[in-house]
Amino acid sequence: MSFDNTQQITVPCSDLPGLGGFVESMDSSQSSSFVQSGDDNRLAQWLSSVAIDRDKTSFGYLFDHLAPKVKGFLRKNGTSEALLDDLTQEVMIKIWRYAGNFDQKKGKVTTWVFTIARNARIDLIRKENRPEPDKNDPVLVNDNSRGSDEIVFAKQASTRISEAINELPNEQQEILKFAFFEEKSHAEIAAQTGLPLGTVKSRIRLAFQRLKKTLTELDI
Amino acid sequence: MITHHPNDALLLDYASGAASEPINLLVATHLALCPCCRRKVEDYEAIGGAFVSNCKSAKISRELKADTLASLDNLVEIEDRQESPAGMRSGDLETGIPQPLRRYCGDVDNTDMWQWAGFGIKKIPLLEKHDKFECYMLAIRGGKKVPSHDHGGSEWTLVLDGSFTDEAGHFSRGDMVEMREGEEHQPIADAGKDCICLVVAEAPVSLTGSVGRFLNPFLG
Repeated sequence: MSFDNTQQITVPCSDLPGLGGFVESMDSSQSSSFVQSGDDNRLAQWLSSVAIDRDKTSFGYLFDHLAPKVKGFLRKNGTSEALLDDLTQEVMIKIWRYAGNFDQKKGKVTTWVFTIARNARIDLIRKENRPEPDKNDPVLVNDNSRGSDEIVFAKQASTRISEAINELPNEQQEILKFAFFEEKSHAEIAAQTGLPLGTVKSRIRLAFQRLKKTLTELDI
Repeated sequence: MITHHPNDALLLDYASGAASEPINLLVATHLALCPCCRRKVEDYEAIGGAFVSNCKSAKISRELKADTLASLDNLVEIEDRQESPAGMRSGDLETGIPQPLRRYCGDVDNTDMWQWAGFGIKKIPLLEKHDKFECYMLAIRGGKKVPSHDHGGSEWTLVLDGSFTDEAGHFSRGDMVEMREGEEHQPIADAGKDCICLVVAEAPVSLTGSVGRFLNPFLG
Protein backbone atom coordinates (compact mmCIF):
# COMPACT_ATOMS: atom_id res chain seq x y z
CA MET A 1 0.00 0.00 0.00
CA SER A 2 1.20 3.47 -0.74
CA PHE A 3 0.63 6.67 1.16
CA ASP A 4 -2.90 7.60 0.38
CA ASN A 5 -3.64 11.09 1.45
CA THR A 6 -6.77 11.60 -0.58
CA GLN A 7 -8.90 11.20 2.52
CA GLN A 8 -6.94 13.82 4.32
CA ILE A 9 -7.50 16.62 1.87
CA THR A 10 -10.98 17.12 3.24
CA VAL A 11 -9.78 17.22 6.82
CA PRO A 12 -9.14 20.77 7.96
CA CYS A 13 -5.63 21.11 9.21
CA SER A 14 -5.64 24.75 10.13
CA ASP A 15 -2.53 24.72 12.26
CA LEU A 16 -0.35 23.40 9.48
CA PRO A 17 -0.55 25.73 6.50
CA GLY A 18 1.15 25.09 3.21
CA LEU A 19 0.91 21.33 3.14
CA GLY A 20 -0.94 21.13 -0.15
CA GLY A 21 2.25 20.12 -1.91
CA PHE A 22 2.56 16.96 0.11
CA VAL A 23 -0.75 15.66 -1.08
CA GLU A 24 0.47 15.91 -4.63
CA SER A 25 3.82 14.42 -3.76
CA MET A 26 2.31 11.31 -2.24
CA ASP A 27 1.59 8.32 -4.39
CA SER A 28 -2.05 7.39 -4.22
CA SER A 29 -2.05 4.68 -6.87
CA GLN A 30 -1.54 1.17 -5.60
CA SER A 31 0.09 -0.08 -8.77
CA SER A 32 3.12 2.19 -8.83
CA SER A 33 4.12 1.45 -5.28
CA PHE A 34 6.77 -1.13 -5.89
CA VAL A 35 8.16 -2.06 -2.56
CA GLN A 36 6.21 -5.05 -1.34
CA SER A 37 7.89 -7.21 1.26
CA GLY A 38 9.75 -9.33 -1.28
CA ASP A 39 10.79 -6.39 -3.42
CA ASP A 40 13.50 -5.15 -1.15
CA ASN A 41 15.09 -8.60 -1.47
CA ARG A 42 15.02 -8.24 -5.23
CA LEU A 43 16.68 -4.83 -4.97
CA ALA A 44 19.26 -6.37 -2.64
CA GLN A 45 20.03 -9.10 -5.20
CA TRP A 46 20.59 -6.56 -7.98
CA LEU A 47 22.70 -4.50 -5.64
CA SER A 48 24.76 -7.54 -4.82
CA SER A 49 25.35 -8.25 -8.54
CA VAL A 50 26.47 -4.67 -8.94
CA ALA A 51 28.80 -4.95 -5.96
CA ILE A 52 30.35 -8.30 -6.86
CA ASP A 53 30.19 -8.49 -10.66
CA ARG A 54 29.89 -4.78 -11.53
CA ASP A 55 26.88 -5.95 -13.53
CA LYS A 56 25.37 -3.13 -15.58
CA THR A 57 22.20 -5.00 -16.42
CA SER A 58 21.37 -5.27 -12.73
CA PHE A 59 22.27 -1.63 -12.32
CA GLY A 60 19.83 -0.83 -15.12
CA TYR A 61 17.06 -2.58 -13.17
CA LEU A 62 18.03 -0.70 -10.04
CA PHE A 63 17.96 2.52 -12.01
CA ASP A 64 14.49 1.82 -13.40
CA HIS A 65 13.11 1.10 -9.94
CA LEU A 66 14.96 3.60 -7.82
CA ALA A 67 15.63 6.69 -9.94
CA PRO A 68 11.92 7.70 -10.23
CA LYS A 69 11.52 7.29 -6.46
CA VAL A 70 14.70 9.15 -5.63
CA LYS A 71 13.74 12.02 -7.93
CA GLY A 72 10.22 12.08 -6.53
CA PHE A 73 11.55 12.11 -2.99
CA LEU A 74 14.05 14.91 -3.64
CA ARG A 75 11.49 17.13 -5.35
CA LYS A 76 10.88 20.21 -3.31
CA ASN A 77 9.26 23.50 -4.14
CA GLY A 78 11.71 25.58 -6.09
CA THR A 79 14.02 22.80 -7.20
CA SER A 80 14.46 22.91 -10.97
CA GLU A 81 14.10 19.80 -13.13
CA ALA A 82 17.71 20.11 -14.23
CA LEU A 83 18.99 20.18 -10.66
CA LEU A 84 16.70 17.29 -9.72
CA ASP A 85 18.12 15.25 -12.60
CA ASP A 86 21.67 16.07 -11.50
CA LEU A 87 20.91 15.04 -7.92
CA THR A 88 19.19 11.85 -9.01
CA GLN A 89 22.14 10.95 -11.23
CA GLU A 90 24.55 11.63 -8.39
CA VAL A 91 22.57 9.34 -6.09
CA MET A 92 22.46 6.56 -8.70
CA ILE A 93 26.20 6.84 -9.31
CA LYS A 94 26.83 6.62 -5.57
CA ILE A 95 24.69 3.47 -5.50
CA TRP A 96 26.93 2.01 -8.22
CA ARG A 97 30.09 3.13 -6.50
CA TYR A 98 29.27 2.08 -2.96
CA ALA A 99 27.11 -0.99 -3.64
CA GLY A 100 29.68 -3.06 -1.75
CA ASN A 101 29.06 -1.10 1.44
CA PHE A 102 25.43 -2.13 1.64
CA ASP A 103 24.79 -4.74 4.30
CA GLN A 104 21.42 -6.47 4.14
CA LYS A 105 21.78 -7.64 7.73
CA LYS A 106 21.68 -4.06 8.91
CA GLY A 107 18.67 -2.79 7.03
CA LYS A 108 16.79 -2.41 3.82
CA VAL A 109 17.98 -1.17 0.44
CA THR A 110 15.43 1.65 0.51
CA THR A 111 16.73 2.86 3.88
CA TRP A 112 20.27 2.86 2.52
CA VAL A 113 19.14 4.72 -0.61
CA PHE A 114 17.37 7.27 1.59
CA THR A 115 20.63 8.01 3.45
CA ILE A 116 22.47 8.46 0.13
CA ALA A 117 19.78 10.82 -1.18
CA ARG A 118 19.77 12.76 2.09
CA ASN A 119 23.54 13.14 2.07
CA ALA A 120 23.59 14.16 -1.61
CA ARG A 121 21.10 16.93 -0.87
CA ILE A 122 23.23 18.22 2.01
CA ASP A 123 26.44 17.92 0.02
CA LEU A 124 25.33 19.35 -3.32
CA ILE A 125 22.52 21.76 -2.44
CA ARG A 126 23.52 23.01 0.99
CA LYS A 127 27.24 22.46 0.42
CA GLU A 128 27.77 21.42 4.02
CA ASN A 129 29.58 18.56 5.63
CA ARG A 130 27.53 16.03 7.49
CA PRO A 131 29.61 14.73 10.38
CA GLU A 132 28.92 11.08 11.24
CA PRO A 133 30.36 8.66 13.79
CA ASP A 134 33.26 6.64 12.37
CA LYS A 135 32.74 2.92 12.92
CA ASN A 136 36.51 2.36 12.87
CA ASP A 137 37.13 4.94 15.58
CA PRO A 138 38.69 3.18 18.61
CA VAL A 139 36.82 5.62 20.87
CA LEU A 140 33.41 4.60 19.49
CA VAL A 141 31.33 2.78 22.11
CA ASN A 142 30.18 -0.52 20.65
CA ASP A 143 26.74 -1.96 20.95
CA ASN A 144 26.93 -5.01 23.18
CA SER A 145 23.29 -5.21 24.12
CA ARG A 146 21.74 -5.44 20.69
CA GLY A 147 19.12 -8.16 20.80
CA SER A 148 16.82 -9.12 17.96
CA ASP A 149 13.81 -7.89 19.94
CA GLU A 150 15.14 -4.36 19.68
CA ILE A 151 15.30 -4.35 15.89
CA VAL A 152 11.83 -3.18 15.09
CA PHE A 153 12.02 -0.85 12.11
CA ALA A 154 14.94 -2.31 10.21
CA LYS A 155 13.33 -5.66 9.49
CA GLN A 156 9.91 -4.26 8.55
CA ALA A 157 9.07 -3.81 4.88
CA SER A 158 8.78 -0.19 3.84
CA THR A 159 5.14 -0.82 2.99
CA ARG A 160 4.44 -1.80 6.58
CA ILE A 161 6.16 1.27 7.92
CA SER A 162 4.18 3.38 5.46
CA GLU A 163 0.94 1.77 6.61
CA ALA A 164 1.88 2.50 10.21
CA ILE A 165 2.61 6.13 9.28
CA ASN A 166 -0.80 6.33 7.61
CA GLU A 167 -2.42 5.24 10.87
CA LEU A 168 -0.82 8.09 12.79
CA PRO A 169 -2.97 11.09 13.67
CA ASN A 170 -2.73 13.72 10.89
CA GLU A 171 -0.86 16.17 13.07
CA GLN A 172 1.93 13.61 13.65
CA GLN A 173 2.07 12.50 10.01
CA GLU A 174 2.40 16.07 8.81
CA ILE A 175 5.39 16.70 11.01
CA LEU A 176 7.19 13.62 9.66
CA LYS A 177 6.45 14.79 6.11
CA PHE A 178 7.78 18.25 6.91
CA ALA A 179 10.96 16.63 8.23
CA PHE A 180 11.60 14.15 5.42
CA PHE A 181 10.18 15.84 2.31
CA GLU A 182 10.77 19.49 3.18
CA GLU A 183 13.94 18.93 5.19
CA LYS A 184 12.68 21.12 8.03
CA SER A 185 14.14 20.87 11.53
CA HIS A 186 11.73 20.74 14.45
CA ALA A 187 12.54 24.39 15.24
CA GLU A 188 11.80 25.39 11.62
CA ILE A 189 8.54 23.42 11.71
CA ALA A 190 7.54 25.30 14.88
CA ALA A 191 8.46 28.65 13.32
CA GLN A 192 6.62 27.92 10.07
CA THR A 193 3.44 26.54 11.62
CA GLY A 194 3.31 28.82 14.65
CA LEU A 195 3.08 25.77 16.90
CA PRO A 196 4.97 25.99 20.20
CA LEU A 197 8.34 24.21 20.07
CA GLY A 198 7.23 21.91 22.89
CA THR A 199 4.18 20.81 20.89
CA VAL A 200 6.28 19.91 17.86
CA LYS A 201 8.68 17.96 20.07
CA SER A 202 5.93 16.03 21.79
CA ARG A 203 4.28 15.18 18.45
CA ILE A 204 7.56 13.77 17.22
CA ARG A 205 7.98 11.72 20.39
CA LEU A 206 4.42 10.44 20.25
CA ALA A 207 4.70 9.59 16.55
CA PHE A 208 7.81 7.55 17.19
CA GLN A 209 6.33 5.69 20.18
CA ARG A 210 3.20 4.90 18.24
CA LEU A 211 5.06 3.65 15.16
CA LYS A 212 7.19 1.42 17.32
CA LYS A 213 4.14 0.01 19.07
CA THR A 214 2.29 -0.66 15.79
CA LEU A 215 5.30 -2.31 14.18
CA THR A 216 6.00 -4.44 17.26
CA GLU A 217 2.43 -5.65 17.32
CA LEU A 218 2.55 -6.46 13.61
CA ASP A 219 5.52 -8.61 14.35
CA ILE A 220 3.84 -10.81 16.94
CA MET B 1 26.56 5.16 31.78
CA ILE B 2 24.76 7.82 29.77
CA THR B 3 21.55 8.98 31.42
CA HIS B 4 20.81 12.22 29.55
CA HIS B 5 20.11 11.73 25.85
CA PRO B 6 19.20 14.07 23.00
CA ASN B 7 15.43 14.28 22.57
CA ASP B 8 13.63 12.57 19.68
CA ALA B 9 13.22 15.88 17.84
CA LEU B 10 16.98 16.41 17.62
CA LEU B 11 17.60 12.80 16.54
CA LEU B 12 14.93 13.22 13.86
CA ASP B 13 16.59 16.43 12.62
CA TYR B 14 19.85 14.49 12.32
CA ALA B 15 18.27 11.49 10.58
CA SER B 16 16.08 13.44 8.17
CA GLY B 17 18.95 15.65 7.03
CA ALA B 18 17.27 18.84 8.26
CA ALA B 19 19.86 19.68 10.90
CA SER B 20 22.69 22.03 10.05
CA GLU B 21 26.36 21.21 10.52
CA PRO B 22 26.84 22.27 14.19
CA ILE B 23 23.79 20.24 15.29
CA ASN B 24 24.93 17.29 13.18
CA LEU B 25 28.35 17.51 14.82
CA LEU B 26 26.78 17.56 18.28
CA VAL B 27 24.42 14.64 17.62
CA ALA B 28 27.03 12.58 15.74
CA THR B 29 29.49 12.98 18.63
CA HIS B 30 26.86 11.81 21.09
CA LEU B 31 26.04 8.89 18.77
CA ALA B 32 29.67 7.77 18.83
CA LEU B 33 29.28 7.28 22.59
CA CYS B 34 25.68 6.04 22.65
CA PRO B 35 24.64 2.83 20.81
CA CYS B 36 21.08 3.25 22.01
CA CYS B 37 20.62 6.58 20.21
CA ARG B 38 22.37 5.11 17.14
CA ARG B 39 19.61 2.49 17.01
CA LYS B 40 16.98 5.22 17.24
CA VAL B 41 18.56 7.09 14.33
CA GLU B 42 18.50 3.86 12.31
CA ASP B 43 14.79 3.61 13.05
CA TYR B 44 14.25 7.15 11.81
CA GLU B 45 16.26 6.36 8.69
CA ALA B 46 13.97 3.38 8.07
CA ILE B 47 11.06 5.84 8.16
CA GLY B 48 12.98 7.91 5.59
CA GLY B 49 13.32 4.76 3.48
CA ALA B 50 9.57 4.25 3.64
CA PHE B 51 9.05 7.83 2.45
CA VAL B 52 11.39 7.23 -0.49
CA SER B 53 9.77 3.97 -1.56
CA ASN B 54 6.23 5.27 -1.29
CA CYS B 55 6.55 8.76 -2.67
CA LYS B 56 5.13 9.55 -6.06
CA SER B 57 7.45 8.42 -8.84
CA ALA B 58 8.92 11.18 -10.96
CA LYS B 59 9.44 10.94 -14.71
CA ILE B 60 12.92 9.97 -15.72
CA SER B 61 14.04 10.75 -19.24
CA ARG B 62 15.70 8.12 -21.38
CA GLU B 63 18.66 10.47 -21.76
CA LEU B 64 19.25 10.58 -18.01
CA LYS B 65 19.47 6.82 -17.83
CA ALA B 66 21.71 6.56 -20.89
CA ASP B 67 23.92 9.34 -19.60
CA THR B 68 24.20 7.75 -16.15
CA LEU B 69 25.06 4.32 -17.57
CA ALA B 70 27.62 5.83 -19.92
CA SER B 71 29.29 7.72 -17.09
CA LEU B 72 29.95 4.56 -15.10
CA ASP B 73 32.94 3.70 -17.26
CA ASN B 74 34.57 7.05 -16.67
CA LEU B 75 34.35 7.07 -12.91
CA VAL B 76 37.58 7.66 -11.13
CA GLU B 77 37.92 5.04 -8.44
CA ILE B 78 37.93 6.71 -5.06
CA GLU B 79 39.81 4.95 -2.34
CA ASP B 80 37.96 4.53 0.89
CA ARG B 81 39.30 7.16 3.19
CA GLN B 82 40.66 5.35 6.21
CA GLU B 83 40.82 7.55 9.24
CA SER B 84 44.00 6.94 11.09
CA PRO B 85 43.42 7.22 14.80
CA ALA B 86 46.06 9.92 14.89
CA GLY B 87 46.79 11.42 18.24
CA MET B 88 45.03 8.61 20.09
CA ARG B 89 46.87 6.91 22.90
CA SER B 90 45.77 3.57 24.25
CA GLY B 91 44.70 5.14 27.54
CA ASP B 92 42.43 7.55 25.69
CA LEU B 93 39.59 5.16 24.93
CA GLU B 94 37.63 6.05 28.05
CA THR B 95 38.21 9.78 27.82
CA GLY B 96 39.32 10.57 24.26
CA ILE B 97 37.43 12.90 21.93
CA PRO B 98 35.47 10.68 19.52
CA GLN B 99 35.15 11.15 15.78
CA PRO B 100 33.72 13.15 14.11
CA LEU B 101 34.54 15.86 16.67
CA ARG B 102 38.28 15.10 16.70
CA ARG B 103 38.51 16.25 13.10
CA TYR B 104 36.95 19.59 14.03
CA CYS B 105 38.68 20.43 17.31
CA GLY B 106 42.19 19.11 16.78
CA ASP B 107 44.33 18.04 19.70
CA VAL B 108 42.64 19.19 22.90
CA ASP B 109 45.69 18.14 24.92
CA ASN B 110 47.65 20.92 23.26
CA THR B 111 47.17 23.90 25.60
CA ASP B 112 47.88 26.35 22.77
CA MET B 113 44.57 25.39 21.20
CA TRP B 114 42.59 26.86 24.09
CA GLN B 115 41.57 30.48 24.55
CA TRP B 116 41.31 31.77 28.07
CA ALA B 117 37.79 32.98 28.86
CA GLY B 118 38.16 33.86 32.56
CA PHE B 119 36.65 32.28 35.69
CA GLY B 120 38.59 29.04 35.21
CA ILE B 121 37.11 28.51 31.76
CA LYS B 122 38.80 27.94 28.40
CA LYS B 123 37.33 27.68 24.90
CA ILE B 124 38.12 26.43 21.41
CA PRO B 125 35.79 28.05 18.86
CA LEU B 126 34.58 25.69 16.10
CA LEU B 127 32.73 26.31 12.83
CA GLU B 128 33.23 30.02 13.31
CA LYS B 129 31.67 30.95 9.98
CA HIS B 130 28.31 29.46 10.79
CA ASP B 131 25.64 32.15 10.97
CA LYS B 132 22.90 30.32 12.89
CA PHE B 133 24.83 28.59 15.64
CA GLU B 134 27.77 29.19 17.92
CA CYS B 135 29.84 26.09 18.42
CA TYR B 136 32.80 25.63 20.75
CA MET B 137 34.67 23.31 23.07
CA LEU B 138 34.56 24.38 26.68
CA ALA B 139 36.90 23.35 29.49
CA ILE B 140 35.83 24.16 33.03
CA ARG B 141 38.47 23.67 35.69
CA GLY B 142 37.49 21.00 38.22
CA GLY B 143 35.59 22.49 41.16
CA LYS B 144 34.86 25.76 39.32
CA LYS B 145 31.44 27.28 39.16
CA VAL B 146 30.21 28.74 35.86
CA PRO B 147 28.48 32.03 36.72
CA SER B 148 24.72 31.72 36.54
CA HIS B 149 23.47 32.61 33.06
CA ASP B 150 20.34 32.41 31.01
CA HIS B 151 19.99 31.66 27.31
CA GLY B 152 19.00 33.80 24.36
CA GLY B 153 18.06 30.69 22.37
CA SER B 154 18.38 26.93 22.73
CA GLU B 155 21.76 25.72 23.90
CA TRP B 156 23.08 22.15 23.98
CA THR B 157 26.00 20.90 26.04
CA LEU B 158 27.58 17.49 25.52
CA VAL B 159 30.00 16.31 28.19
CA LEU B 160 33.14 14.57 26.88
CA ASP B 161 35.36 14.34 29.93
CA GLY B 162 35.02 15.11 33.62
CA SER B 163 31.54 15.97 34.86
CA PHE B 164 29.38 18.80 36.13
CA THR B 165 26.33 19.26 38.28
CA ASP B 166 23.60 21.84 37.91
CA GLU B 167 19.99 22.28 39.06
CA ALA B 168 18.85 19.56 36.65
CA GLY B 169 21.27 16.86 37.75
CA HIS B 170 24.67 15.33 37.24
CA PHE B 171 26.22 15.12 33.79
CA SER B 172 29.19 13.03 32.71
CA ARG B 173 30.75 11.63 29.51
CA GLY B 174 28.18 11.28 26.74
CA ASP B 175 25.43 13.10 28.63
CA MET B 176 23.70 15.92 26.85
CA VAL B 177 21.70 18.77 28.32
CA GLU B 178 19.41 21.12 26.41
CA MET B 179 18.63 24.58 27.78
CA ARG B 180 15.77 26.52 26.25
CA GLU B 181 15.47 30.23 25.73
CA GLY B 182 15.03 32.01 29.06
CA GLU B 183 16.13 29.05 31.16
CA GLU B 184 18.83 29.70 33.70
CA HIS B 185 21.42 27.36 35.12
CA GLN B 186 24.63 27.33 37.07
CA PRO B 187 26.86 24.37 36.26
CA ILE B 188 29.60 23.44 38.71
CA ALA B 189 32.41 21.23 37.44
CA ASP B 190 33.02 18.34 39.79
CA ALA B 191 36.28 18.50 41.67
CA GLY B 192 39.21 16.58 40.27
CA LYS B 193 39.66 16.94 36.53
CA ASP B 194 38.63 19.56 34.00
CA CYS B 195 35.17 19.16 32.56
CA ILE B 196 35.41 19.20 28.75
CA CYS B 197 32.21 19.85 26.80
CA LEU B 198 31.02 20.56 23.29
CA VAL B 199 28.54 23.45 23.30
CA VAL B 200 26.21 24.45 20.45
CA ALA B 201 24.03 27.52 20.94
CA GLU B 202 21.55 29.30 18.72
CA ALA B 203 23.16 32.58 17.87
CA PRO B 204 21.05 35.48 19.12
CA VAL B 205 19.98 37.68 16.24
CA SER B 206 19.35 40.97 18.01
CA LEU B 207 22.07 43.55 18.43
CA THR B 208 21.64 43.62 22.19
CA GLY B 209 22.04 39.88 22.11
CA SER B 210 25.31 40.18 20.25
CA VAL B 211 26.61 42.82 22.62
CA GLY B 212 25.52 40.71 25.56
CA ARG B 213 27.37 37.78 24.06
CA PHE B 214 30.44 39.86 23.52
CA LEU B 215 30.38 40.85 27.18
CA ASN B 216 29.54 37.42 28.48
CA PRO B 217 31.95 34.72 27.37
CA PHE B 218 29.73 31.92 28.69
CA LEU B 219 27.05 32.55 26.13
CA GLY B 220 29.61 32.13 23.40
